[in-house]
Order: sequence, then structure tokens, then C-alpha cells
Amino acid sequence: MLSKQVEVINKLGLHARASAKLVEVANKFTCNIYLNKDNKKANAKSIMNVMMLAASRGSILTITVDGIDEVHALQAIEDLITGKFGELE
Amino acid sequence: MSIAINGIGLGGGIAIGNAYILDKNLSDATLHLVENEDIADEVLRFEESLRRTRRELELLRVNITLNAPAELGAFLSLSIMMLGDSQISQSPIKIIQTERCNVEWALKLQADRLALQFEEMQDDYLKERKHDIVQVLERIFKNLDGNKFEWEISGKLEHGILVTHDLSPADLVHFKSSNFSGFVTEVGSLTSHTAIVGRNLDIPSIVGTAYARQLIKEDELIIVDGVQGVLIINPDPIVLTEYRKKQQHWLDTKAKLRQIRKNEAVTLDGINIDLLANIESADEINDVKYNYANGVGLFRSEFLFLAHDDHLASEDEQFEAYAKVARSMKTSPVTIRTADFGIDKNPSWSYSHQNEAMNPALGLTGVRLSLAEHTFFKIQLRAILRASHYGDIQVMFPMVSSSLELKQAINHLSYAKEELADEGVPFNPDIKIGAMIEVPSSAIAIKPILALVDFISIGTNDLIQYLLAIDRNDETVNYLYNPLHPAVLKIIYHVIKSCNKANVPVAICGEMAGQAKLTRLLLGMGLRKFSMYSSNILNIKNVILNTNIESTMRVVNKILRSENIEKIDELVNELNIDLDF
Repeated sequence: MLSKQVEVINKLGLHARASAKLVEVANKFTCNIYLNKDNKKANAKSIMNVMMLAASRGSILTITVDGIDEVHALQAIEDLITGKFGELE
Repeated sequence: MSIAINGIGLGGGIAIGNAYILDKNLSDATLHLVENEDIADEVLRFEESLRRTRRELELLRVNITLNAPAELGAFLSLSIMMLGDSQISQSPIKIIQTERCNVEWALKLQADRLALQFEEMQDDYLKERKHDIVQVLERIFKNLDGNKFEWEISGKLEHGILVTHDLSPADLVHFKSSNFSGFVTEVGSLTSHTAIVGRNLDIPSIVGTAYARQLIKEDELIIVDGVQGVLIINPDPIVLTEYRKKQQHWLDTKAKLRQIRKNEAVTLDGINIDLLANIESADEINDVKYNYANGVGLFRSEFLFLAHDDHLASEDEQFEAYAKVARSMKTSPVTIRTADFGIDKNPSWSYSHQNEAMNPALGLTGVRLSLAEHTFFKIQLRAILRASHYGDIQVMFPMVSSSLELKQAINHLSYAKEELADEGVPFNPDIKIGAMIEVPSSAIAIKPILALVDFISIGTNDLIQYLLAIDRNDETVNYLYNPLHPAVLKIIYHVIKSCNKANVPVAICGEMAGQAKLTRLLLGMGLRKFSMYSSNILNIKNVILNTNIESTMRVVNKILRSENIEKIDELVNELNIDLDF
């Protein structure tokens, strides 16, 4: 099990499309992926869960991964968030 | 318990049938408890709808056109993803099982729960995402067995009556080809576009029955009396029998009317009457022809402009619409009224829209607006003139209040003619010019107007409003709106007499022309041209065929001499005593 803290830096935060992208990426991996914000925990493979996190710009997310491909999964999710979900701002 | 509510009847007779409630929104879902053994079926209903929704969205995503906004694809992908989320695909099932309720209620509960969580969010933008989720649940709701609306569906809906919040004019087109026998909407006024189109459908219908969907239960027996504008829910047996008789009578009358479709409108004493149609668009020509109207007495051109608020209908767009009507009416006259934007429908580009008028009914409307908007007016006059080459088009100016105003308008027409002549564009140089008499001043001092025109049309709706100082759309005073007010009859009589004396053809194109109760009176007052909704033509023709003008004159003269409102009412009834409306 690995975990890492990342800051949400894109303008609109984890809005619908960003959430969708995150869930899409998460579902490519077999390991469990969770996002923690404050004391809320979300399954990164569930769109509702992710949207419900209400992670706006500046929120600190803790990514927790657990499973065989956890290293790659952590990297992919981290890249997505720090890469502002590929959004042009 | 039986309930009766009043709305605005659009005619079409009486329909008796079971209510079919459309526009079921998720927020309207109600709780029905489900028996233990039926829970599995309820879950199946949900799953079936979920599958249908997924198929629908995937199909949409595949068929996105290249020029669709990129957001649409992303939105569809998101929606499809949500369908797979347990909050959407599993939670409703749990709710059905634990609450032992119907799917609709479970979806509503789940939507409320999810929305509540979003409400607690700090970020306003993210908070708004709750709509994305509710929309997905809404889609599942609408795809549920029995919620999905198929206009073409048969069987169950035979004789059914559609009860809905609102129907757009486009919906009415579907409606026409459906099996419903009538409709009721919660919103809509006499002058709304839906009402105007609805009246021409000749289907029992009522608009403006607030809360109808709350008061009526699905499948409940209702009576729609489109003539009186009365909706009766769950009628008593006595009432039901009475209405069945009324309905039969209406149908018999209609069958009888159909037989006189091709007859000339001639009175018993041999006087030919001209029956014309009022239209809003070229699409209504079939109805005009079906009812054998002698022409179009009023083409309300403003509806062409209301179709799109963001830009003016171009000269070519207008030309196409006018020429289409002119061509299909062949040698019959088509009277195009230049744009007459009412108080409630001033387009966004006009002065009057920019300067909020204190009293719009007395402000920049009718021909005044056209005179203030030179370019707009010129384009319309050019389009009308160009179309005049293709049929018997006449032009008419609305809301004329003096001969000076009329002269100005005619000058504009002359400029447009000169322009077209210079450009070598064909048009009818002798196009007939008319004025609409609807402002009391021009009705009273009509002589100088008659010297300028080829014909007159009386717009009784506005004339009555201005004369009696009553806004028909104002519920607090509209009971005072009365076409039989002695002042109204006197002023109309004055106009008809003046026109007949000057040999200027005169028509009425307001609602009075289409009211069978008033036909004999108007004939007695010397009116020989009536312009009305196509759907009224046969009804009016029937009265004409059964009227001897000469023998009505005794009572008509009494009416015209009276200044007593109650007395006039009695006399009008006496005038129609042998008629059966």
C-alpha cells in the first residue's frame, strides 16, 4: 500500500469532466484507489464518490493505492492531477 | 368527488375520456407502496429503464455530429459513467427493497439525497454539478415503462385526454397525428401562440387550467368542454349523461357542417357573403382550403418575426413566406398585415424594447413601430411587393390612428415600389392598400382614411379594448370586455355604414367575426365580409345559410337603438332564437 499527498491546482477543481477523467484512469488499474480529503474518503473508481469529494482548487488530496499495479496507478493519478487534467486554462 | 375548473377553451367541442398525464418530472413522482411479491418486478422495471437509458446515451454519443460542441461528447461520457456508478445503478434498488416503494419514488429519494450532499459543498461551481446527476436520474425516470412518451402510440390512448403543463406549437403538430381526443394544459392564455395554433386544430382543448396535473389522477375520467372552457374531473353520472348528449350534438352538428363545406355562403334572401381566413403562417393554408375560405383576410405577419428573436426575418425569408401563401391561394386575395407587435411580444431589436414604455398599449405598437423603424419597414414592404407578383396580395397597415399616419405608411410603400422598379424586380404596381380600424379615433373620423384606401378591416379585439379601457389579459377587469356594449356596436355600425356609403369594402377580422352568436347582428349592420380562424368558417356559414337579413332588421334596429346592456343581450338571444349553437 502506498499513499501520497497532492494539491488540486486546476482552476475548477474536481469538476464533472475532471472527475470523469480521473475515474476513467483509475479504472484501468486493478488495485484499489482511494482519495482522501479532510475526513472524507472516496473510491476513485466511482464517479459519484469523486464528485462528492467536492475537491476545489487548492484542496489537498491523499491518494492511497493498494494492489499489484499500485506503483503505476499512483503515478498515473498524480500525473493527472498535477497536470491539471490536461486542461488549458 | 367531482371537481370542475375553468380555463380558456380553444373550442373543438367536447371530449370525454381518461386522463393521460404527460410531463411527468422526477420532482412530480409520488409514493406507491409495492406488495412484497411485486418488488422483484419493480426492480426489473428499474433495470430495464437503466439499460434503455444507457443505450439511448450511447447512441447519442455515437451519432454526435462533427460540429456539435465538444462539451456534448464529454457530457454524454460523464452521464454514461454515472449510470455505471453504484449510487445510480444500485442505490435505487436498495431503496425499492427497503422502502417497498415504486421506482419513481426511489429515484426521487435518491436524487434528493445526492442533491443534499451537493448542497453542503462550499464551492459554488461544484455545487451546481448536482444538476448533472439529477439529470441522469431524470433520464432513467423518463425511460421507465409508461413514462416515455410516444405520440404515435395507439390502443390505450384511443380517446385519452392529454393533461400536461404546457404544449409547444411543435408538440401540437405531433398531437394532430396522435390518437388523443383532447388536451388540457396548465399554462397559456387566449393570445399565447399555443392557443392560436390550438384553436385551428379543432380538437376539444383548454389552456390555462392551473394545477390540473395536481387535481387530476392518471386515468381518471375527465370531460373537456373546449367550447365553454370547463374541465370536469370525475363527473357525477348525471353530469356525464348530460355531456354525452352535448358531445353527440356537437358531433352531429359537425357532420352537418361538413356537408356545407363547398356551399356558397348565401343568405336566404340571396345575399352573397365573403368568408375569409385569418392565418399566422403559410402552414395553415391547408385548413384555409379545406374550409373553402374565399381568401386570406388577415395574414398576421408578426409571427414570422417571432420565430427567431435574435435577428430580423430577412427580405428573402419574408418573401418566401408571403409568396408561398399567394401562390397556393392562386387568384383568391391574400391580405398581409404589416407587423403588429403586441404589448407582450415586442422584439428585442425594436425601440420599444429598449425604452421600457410606461404604457405599452398606448405606445410604440402597430404601424407606429414600423414608421419608427424605417429599415425594418422597408424590408417588409419590399418583400410584400415582390410576393405580389405571384398572386393577389393586398397590404394592410395596423393600428392606424389618423390619416396622417396612414399617408406616411403609404409613402413608404411608394418608395419601396420605386426602388423595386429601378432594380427591375417585378411586383404588382396596383397592389391594394387597406387600413385596419382598431383605434377609436380612426373609427370615428374615418372619412379621410377612406379616401386613401382600397379596403378597410375592423380589428374588433383592440377596438373594444381601447374603447372600453379594458385589457382582456387582465383578469381583474376582463369580465367587462363586451363586444355587445352599446358603444362598441355604435362605433362598428358607424364604420360599416361609412365604408358602404363610400363604396370601400369593409371586413371584420377580429374575434367578433367568428362568433356565431353575433353573425346575424353583423349582417343586419351591413357587414358582408367576415375574416376568422379557419375552424370557425363552417359554423358561421351555417348561420348565414339560415338567415334572412331582411327579416332580422326589426330586432337589429332595436339593438342598435338601445343603450341598455341587459336589453341588448336579450335582443341578441331573440335574434338567434331559431338557431342551435
